[in-house]
Amino acid sequence: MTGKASGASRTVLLWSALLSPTFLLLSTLLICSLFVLRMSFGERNAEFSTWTLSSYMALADHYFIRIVANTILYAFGSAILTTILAFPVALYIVRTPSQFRRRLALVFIMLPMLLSLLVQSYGWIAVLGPDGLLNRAMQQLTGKERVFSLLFNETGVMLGLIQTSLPLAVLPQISSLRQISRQHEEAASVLGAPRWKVYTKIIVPLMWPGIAAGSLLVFGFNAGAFVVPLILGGLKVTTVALAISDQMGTLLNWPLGSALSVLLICITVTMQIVYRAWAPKSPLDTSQHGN
Amino acid sequence: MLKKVEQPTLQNIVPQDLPALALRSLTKKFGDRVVAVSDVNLTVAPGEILSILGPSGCGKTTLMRMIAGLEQSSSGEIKIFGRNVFGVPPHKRGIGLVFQSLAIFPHMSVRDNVSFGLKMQKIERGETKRRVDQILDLVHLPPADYASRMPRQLSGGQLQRVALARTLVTEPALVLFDEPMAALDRRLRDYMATELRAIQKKLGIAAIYVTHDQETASAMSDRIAIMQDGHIMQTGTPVEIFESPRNRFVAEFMGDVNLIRPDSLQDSDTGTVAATVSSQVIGAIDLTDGNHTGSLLLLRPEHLTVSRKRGDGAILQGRVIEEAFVSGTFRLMVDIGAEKQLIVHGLMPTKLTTGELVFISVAKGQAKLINA
Repeated sequence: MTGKASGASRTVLLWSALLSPTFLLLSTLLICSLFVLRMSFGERNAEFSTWTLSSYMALADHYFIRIVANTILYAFGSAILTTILAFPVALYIVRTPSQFRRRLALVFIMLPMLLSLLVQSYGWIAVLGPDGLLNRAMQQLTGKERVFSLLFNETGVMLGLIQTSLPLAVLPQISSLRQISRQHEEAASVLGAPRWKVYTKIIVPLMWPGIAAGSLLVFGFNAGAFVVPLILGGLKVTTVALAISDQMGTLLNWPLGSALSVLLICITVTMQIVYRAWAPKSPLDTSQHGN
Repeated sequence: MLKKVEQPTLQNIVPQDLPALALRSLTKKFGDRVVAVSDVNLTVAPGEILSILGPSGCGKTTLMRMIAGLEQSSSGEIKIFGRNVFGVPPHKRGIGLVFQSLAIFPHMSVRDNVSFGLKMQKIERGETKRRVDQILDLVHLPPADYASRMPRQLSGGQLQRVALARTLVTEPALVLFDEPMAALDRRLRDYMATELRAIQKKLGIAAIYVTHDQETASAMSDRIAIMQDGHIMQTGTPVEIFESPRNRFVAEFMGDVNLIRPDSLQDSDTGTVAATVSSQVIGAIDLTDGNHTGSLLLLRPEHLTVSRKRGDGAILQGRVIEEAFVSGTFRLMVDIGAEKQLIVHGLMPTKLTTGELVFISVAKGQAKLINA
């Protein structure tokens, strides 16, 4: 037997070394998730020794159903709205001839990803809040106090969700749009398509994977919305994440909190499955020529 | 109720005596400095095939894009069948354009691609199907086999035909082709060139090919316009341009040439004009029958003959450098001194050896003077 490790096992060693940090992280996550799953079937104060479906049955209560429905509605609504808003932004970033403006726009779009959600939420309060910039300006103009109550309600939450998750919708659209050659548009144009038909028949269909991916990301991100509804919801808006926080922290009902967590994961996973089954494969990433 | 403006097509253009395309003083400037196209004047007759030939960066693509409406001209006039199209957007110009990249819509089948233009014209469905089937047969892509295929399942040559079908089916007044054969290999290129010309002529649609390949242009076109640095250098039939190039650039662009600056030009008492070239001269080159304005002597390789023996018509002598076989022709390189070389084309191998002394004669009337 030689002292040297053979080429194959050296490769295995190298890959193991490279992947082990990720592997550790993911397996920790997986183990903790399994704990949560186990707890959801347990009884309060005896989470790991009992088996019961009482937590899941409690979820069937009108109170929780309303929360889940609300959460899905916010996630879905924000997904659609951000996707629509992202489209002109993506178009601008990809098509503007000015390098400087493109970079500037990208920076503005990426900022929400770099700043803490907490900071951004407080930013909204500073601008749209009862004593914020807008209301103070209105006060100077009209003399009336607190004209706008845009925050601390559903509207405020939606605004916050859209603003903070916009980059998630924009970036995949940019990526998709980049792959569409200008010549496809020009060809359609010369063949008689007016500008709007170039969009509906050529650009949007070819961009579809990016559009769909973006909206899926926004949905997943906002399904677990916690900070934004907490700060901008004014106690009127409860999402699943907030309910989980209540159950796990304040009310110390871990089985119920765990059941809610499992439910949240199921919702986002289901959306993923629906998307995979339904979304078309990109017509641009398979090679153009046959044999 | 808005009256729908009809696109000009062959069906509804009545005056056939108007040129398909007329360009007058067409210019395009980018900013203050860059003049891509400068004062271009050009006409294309109905049913004619014209090539715009030139090296990369000469402005031919910009010119084509202006005709199509994808770029706006800085000044000058573009008239398509007598209609001034300034300010008219591309989708209303009634022309066709085949891109170098073909730009086949990847998310649509062959049928949907080819039907696209007809759908934009709101042609009724039955008529669309009929015309699409017809054009697919014309380009040798039988609809039964190909209509429902997706672009990714097709080869380069097949995609080319789809692009052609898609453009021709709308019966445009004029079709523009941007380097149509660039992506194809030599054999396929020659084949497609012949096919394309046949189809064009059959349909009677005027066409402009924009290309840098002079061989294909010569084979496919009725006339060629040579472009350099935004200017049209010369327009004429392929033979005219080949035989009587206006200047050095045109001559060199059309293939192998021998261009020599004569040391002197003399009118002799017999009424001939003679040029003498370098210290190797052994006979005057008779220019009497040819063109004698200009300062550069043009000797086409095909019009030169080489011999071991010094004959009466011999004008130059030199030493053989080498012989090469290129594209079916034997190219002989001869050193005629004063650091000049001559190329002689022949259909048969000369079997001369390197360093051998040879004498070169030029066919009568085939020596020309051109501008530098």
